[in-house]
Order: sequence, then structure tokens, then C-alpha cells
Amino acid sequence: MRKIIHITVLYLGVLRSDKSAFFWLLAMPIVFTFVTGFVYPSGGGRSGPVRYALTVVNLDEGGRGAELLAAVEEADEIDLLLLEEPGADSTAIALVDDGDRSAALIIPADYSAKIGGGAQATIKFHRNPERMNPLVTREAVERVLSRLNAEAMVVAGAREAYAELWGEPTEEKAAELTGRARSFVADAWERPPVTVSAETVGRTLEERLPPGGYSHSSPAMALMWVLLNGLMASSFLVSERREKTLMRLFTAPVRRSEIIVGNLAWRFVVGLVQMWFLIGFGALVFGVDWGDSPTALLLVTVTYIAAVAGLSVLIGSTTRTSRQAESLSLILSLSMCALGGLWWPLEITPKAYQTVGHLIPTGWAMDAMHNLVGRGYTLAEVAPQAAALAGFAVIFTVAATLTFRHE
Amino acid sequence: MRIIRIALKDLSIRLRDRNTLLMMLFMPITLVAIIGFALGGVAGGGISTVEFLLVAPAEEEEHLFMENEGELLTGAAANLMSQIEMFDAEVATEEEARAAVGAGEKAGAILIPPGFLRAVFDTATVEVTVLRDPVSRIKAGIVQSLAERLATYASAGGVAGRGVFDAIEAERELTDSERWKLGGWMFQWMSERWREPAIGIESSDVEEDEINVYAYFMPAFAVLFLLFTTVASGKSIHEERESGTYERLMTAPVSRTTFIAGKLAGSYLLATVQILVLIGLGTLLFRIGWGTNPLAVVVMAVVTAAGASSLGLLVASFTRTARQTDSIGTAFVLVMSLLGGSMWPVEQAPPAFQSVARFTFNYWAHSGFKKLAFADAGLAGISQEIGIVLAMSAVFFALSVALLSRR
Repeated sequence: MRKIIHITVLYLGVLRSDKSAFFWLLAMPIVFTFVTGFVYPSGGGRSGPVRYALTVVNLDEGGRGAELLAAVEEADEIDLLLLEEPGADSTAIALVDDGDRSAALIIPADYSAKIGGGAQATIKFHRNPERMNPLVTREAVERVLSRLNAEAMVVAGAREAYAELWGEPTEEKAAELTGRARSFVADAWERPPVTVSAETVGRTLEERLPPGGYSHSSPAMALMWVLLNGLMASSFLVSERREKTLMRLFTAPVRRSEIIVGNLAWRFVVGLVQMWFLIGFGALVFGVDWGDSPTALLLVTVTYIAAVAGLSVLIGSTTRTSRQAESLSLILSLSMCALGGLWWPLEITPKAYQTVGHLIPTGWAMDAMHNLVGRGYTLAEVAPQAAALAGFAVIFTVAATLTFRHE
Repeated sequence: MRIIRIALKDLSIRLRDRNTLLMMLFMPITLVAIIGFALGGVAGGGISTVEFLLVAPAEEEEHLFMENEGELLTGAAANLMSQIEMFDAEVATEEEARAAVGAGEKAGAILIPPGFLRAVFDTATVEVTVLRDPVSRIKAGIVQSLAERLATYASAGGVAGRGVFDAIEAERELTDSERWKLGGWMFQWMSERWREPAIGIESSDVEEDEINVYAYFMPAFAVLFLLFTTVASGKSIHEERESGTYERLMTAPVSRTTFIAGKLAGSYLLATVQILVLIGLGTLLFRIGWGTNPLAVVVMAVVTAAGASSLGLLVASFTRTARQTDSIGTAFVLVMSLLGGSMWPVEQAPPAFQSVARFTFNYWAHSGFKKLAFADAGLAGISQEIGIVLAMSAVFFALSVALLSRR
């Protein structure tokens, strides 16, 4: 045991002399956590309405266009940018096509005339096809239109219903019906008949959510960088073998198994320190609530890091050059991050993708983190994920032991 | 002539190296394939179904039309929703819904409150509650959005129906037979009117199933891995010095300027080969259409390669060793790509963040390719991108020359 500790400390000493190691182990994960958490919305509810810019041009020659404009402006999701200069419609379309704006809404010149004449008025929604935001803005515009269409329907319906029951109304009567209908609709929308409220089930209550999407980005980036750094450390083993320092170690009175365990142990220690530094940083700086069970969190991180350490030694044992080890590590780690749901939630991916994601450690680790952070699971409740991670650790370690060579 | 010889020698060495090819071509193609597999669904190609529950109101104190109308309504709504490919809705009790949503088995649940029909047809108001899975970032939002849309339509329908009755009944109280007659007429009239509402919306955007998600991420990753290649090319300047081949070269009639120019030309040739091959592979493997102007694609590619190789040279010029170039260069490329939208759609970010993205090389290079793929912008349409990338290239080159001449 003492020899294993000695070998581990020896390797850690070598790592300490590498100035860039701290940058890759600590600084880069923080930068990535900050950016991805800042950009994506909150993990368990809405952290506040996200407003998307919508360029609007009102060409209407009557007064109804302004009513539509006012109604659109009230929508939570829309940040309205009005263009009023001559030729504004062409400008708005060009801005969208050039990628400067996501979407534009153009109210045509005959908008009021058509509504007044009982014909359908069509507004134009122009969207940049490479962007997803306009889908949200278009939905918000459609909701506004539902309200306005309901109002138009009441106005027209009142007149036609009158005609159906008692014959065509006089102009005076028609005006009276219109006024009455409009007043009813205005009152009705003050207190809409059906409203919606959202409740997040589980422990992640709205007020406990950290700002932004750090509840996802913090665990995801911690898992990603522990994996990336862990696997990249495989090249260290290759270098040692090529530079014959590993062979020299074998000439000392140390058993093969002790050298292998030492190699696994230092990777494990570095991974554990990195992971818990990032967990602590996430809690203190990004306000991430890591769940109700520190023991469960420890179990998940320990089993995950053990799997990463095993895979790192396995790659180091099976590759011939440092560059080969680095390339393979990069391909494996980035692919595993993408497939395991560290870059985007697995929930949006097809079923087959989710299955693939659970054939590798990252999928299980991310599930466990979600269960801890979002659902407040206990040690017993994350046991299945921890068991799967422990299984990967055993498989990788056995394979690494079988393939480990010193020359 | 000597510059070309140095460039061709470098090109030949790099193209014969399997690890370089792995990083240049295999890595970006693999990641884009994974992303396409994962996110293809988001753009319309088979997102895993949004599974949610509908909860019927608890026992009604008084019904509006018939007994168990709440249950019947919920069952009918679930059937209707499940006919939409994207949704899978089932009916459950509130207790079952809370358990399923809390455990992540369902993304969300919509709780229909007692008195829902009365709110739509009569004068009451109700609140529909949406239960959200605490760790679902996307699907729970879709369920909530669906509930909000249904609430708006139900409210609009209710307001329209009640508005007409209200306007007519203000004339005089209707007899029962008049009420039945008006009710029957209203039902038919409203069904027709909803089909062609007063205000329509005409979308000029591409239908969702036409969006090729690969066309977004292929150029993004091409630019990212292009930068890795050019940083590696820059690193070779230090490697030549560290391995002594530079000293040997200096004994030949080759000036330092020729050496650096040759290295830059080699980097540029390699980058051009890489981006053109990736564009070709994108077309063959992912069916990306780059627009109708092949010249524009080639121009954008060679300009991007120029910018990337100048950037690679710049990184090499402010580092002192190959190891430093590797470490600092990789970190620089990763952070710039993260900020510039090579790893995620920058359009989703807050406006301040998008402004930062505009200072990166990745943003403009990616933007040019996106315009070609999505908007068939042609050479004129990407002139801004070409101009900015060329300007960046000139600045990077000038800075490199200034830094190298001080050594």
C-alpha cells in the first residue's frame, strides 16, 4: 500500500510541475460552465421570460394596424423593434436575410381596409430559416392574433346573429352592436376565461433555481472536463513507456499490480480534486444546489472518476504514440460528451440516441447528476446509476490491467 | 520558389500523418454526424415524442352539459393530442401525474380544473396548472407552451361565443327557442369563421422539415477544426527550431522570411484542402446544399483558410515553444469557438453575448457559409463576411510579422 501511495505521490509531483495543468483542470471548465450556463435557459422552470427581437413594419393606411402593433408589443416573448423609414418593408426583409435580425412582421397597407370590409387581412411573417428563435415569436404573434380574431368574430357575429334572429340591423343598430361587442371583448380579456400557471414538481422550486442554466451546465461541464483531462492524461503513460521511465520503475522492487494501481490512483485523485473543486465553485459562484445527499454525490463522482481513470490507463496501454493517445482521447471524450447528454439534454434526442447514450458512462453520470440536482434523490435512489458507473470502472480497469505494458 | 518548396514539404508531411488526418477530417465529420443524429429531430426529423399526462378535473359540483363532462373532455383531448406525431398524451389522476412527472417518466402534466367548460361557455374563470419535470429543459417547456396555446384558443372561442350572446341579449332577453336557434347557428357560423379568421398570417419561412441541421453545424465544426489544424501548423515552426531542423535549414541559402512565408503557405494550402474536403464530405454525407453559386463557396472557403492560417501563425508568434503553442493555441481556439458560435447556435444567446461573438473569426466565417447554405446568398450576399474575414486575416498577419520580427 505504501508503495502505491509513493507511486501516486510521485506522479502527482510531476503533474504539479506542469503549469498549464491547472489552467486545463480548473480555469477552462469554469469558462465553459459560465458561457453555457449563461446562454441556455434555466434547468427546471423559467428564470424569467426570454424576449426575442421582432422587427415590425406598419404600412397600414388605417388605424387598425396600430392596434395590432400595440397588442404585439404587449406579448412577453417579443421585443418589438419598429421600422418607420420609407421602404422599411424591404429593409426589414433584407435585415432578416442578412442575418442581422431573426424575424420581421409586416402589416400591409390595406390591413384596415380589409378588416373593415369583412375580408381577411394577411400579415406577413418573414423569418431567417437558420434560426430557431422566430418559432417562439411566431407563436406569440399567433396568440395575439387569436385574441384579435376573437374580437373580430364577436363584432361580425353580433351583427349576423341579429340578422338571423330579427332581420338586417339598421346602420345605427349595427354600430351599437359593434360598440357593445368591443366593450365585452375588452372586459373579457381583462380576466381571460382560461389562464395557465406552472408548477415544477420535485425539489427544484422556482425560487431555488440558480440564475441561468447552471443547474445543467455546472454538472455537465464538470463531467466533461474530468473526462477530457482524464483521458488526455493517457498520453502521459505512453510518454513514460517511450522514454523508458516506466521500464526503470519495473526494475525497482515494485510489483506490476502496484504500478498499475499507482497509475490509476493518481488519475483518480486528480479527477476527484478537479470534480469537487468544480462542484464547490458551482455551488459558491453559480449558486448550484447539488442536492440533498452529499454522500450520494460522492458515490456518483467516485464511480464516474474510477471509470475515467480506468479508461485513461486503457488508452495509454493500447496506443503506441502520445499523439495517437491524444487523438483517440479527444475523439472518445468529445463523442462521449455529445452522446451522453452533456452538451444538450438527452430528452430532445431520438430514442435510439438515448439508448446509445446509456452504453457509455457519461449518459449514466448525467442522469445521476440530474436526479441529484433536480429531484434531490438519496443514496439509494441513485444506486442504479452509481452501479452502472461502477460496472464501467470495473470493465475499463480489468481491460487496462490486461493490456498494461512497460515496453 | 523556395517558399513553395517549403510549403509543399510541410503539406506532404502533414497529409501523410494519420493523426493529422484524423483531427482534420474524421473528428469534425464524426461530431457533426452525432449532432445531426441528436438534433435532427429538433429541426423536424424525429424528436423523441413529448410524453405528457392530462388530468381530468376532480368531481364536478355541477355539470354544464352532461355528467362526467370533465373526464370526457380530458379523454377526447388526450386522443386528439396523440394524433399529432410529436405528442403522446394519456389520462391520469393528479396523484399519478405528480409521481410520474416527479420521477421524470413524463415531461409534464396538464391539470384541467373543475369548471373548465363553465369558464369557456359561461362567465367563470379558471386556471389550468402545468406540472413540469424539474430536470426537463425542453419538453416540459413544450408541454407548458401547448397548455398556453390551448388556453388562448379556449379563451378566444369562449369570448367570441359569449360576446355574441351578450351583444344580442342586451337587446332583449331571448326566449328558449331563440336561444336554441342562436346556439345552433353560432356553432356552425363559428366553425366556418375559425377556418378563415379576420387576420391571417403568411409565413415566408422554410418549413421545419426542410431545415438541414447539418448545414448549420458542418461549417461551424469545419471552422473549429480548421483552426486546430492551423495552430498545429504554427506549432511546427517551433518544432523545427526545437528539433534542430531550422538551424540546418538556415545553413542553406534560405532566409528567415522565406522560411516563415513557406510555413504560412504550407499552413494555408493544408487549410484550403481541409475546408474544401469537409465541404465536399458535407455535401456527400449530409446532403448539404451550399447554394447555386459554387464560386461563392470556393471563395468563402479560400478566404476562411487564409484567415485561419494567419491566426495559426499569430498564435505561434506570441508563444515560445511547441508545447506552449499547443496549450495556449488549443485554449484560444476553444474559447473563441465557444464565444463565436462554433459549438452552439449563437442566435439563441442574449444580445450582449451576440455582440461579443461578432469580434470572433468563427462568427464571420460561419456566417458566410450559413448564408450560402440557408439563403443561397451568392457572392454578393456574403461580401460583408468575405471582407471582414479578409480584414481579420490581414490584421493577424501584420501582428504576426510584427511579433516575429522582434524575436
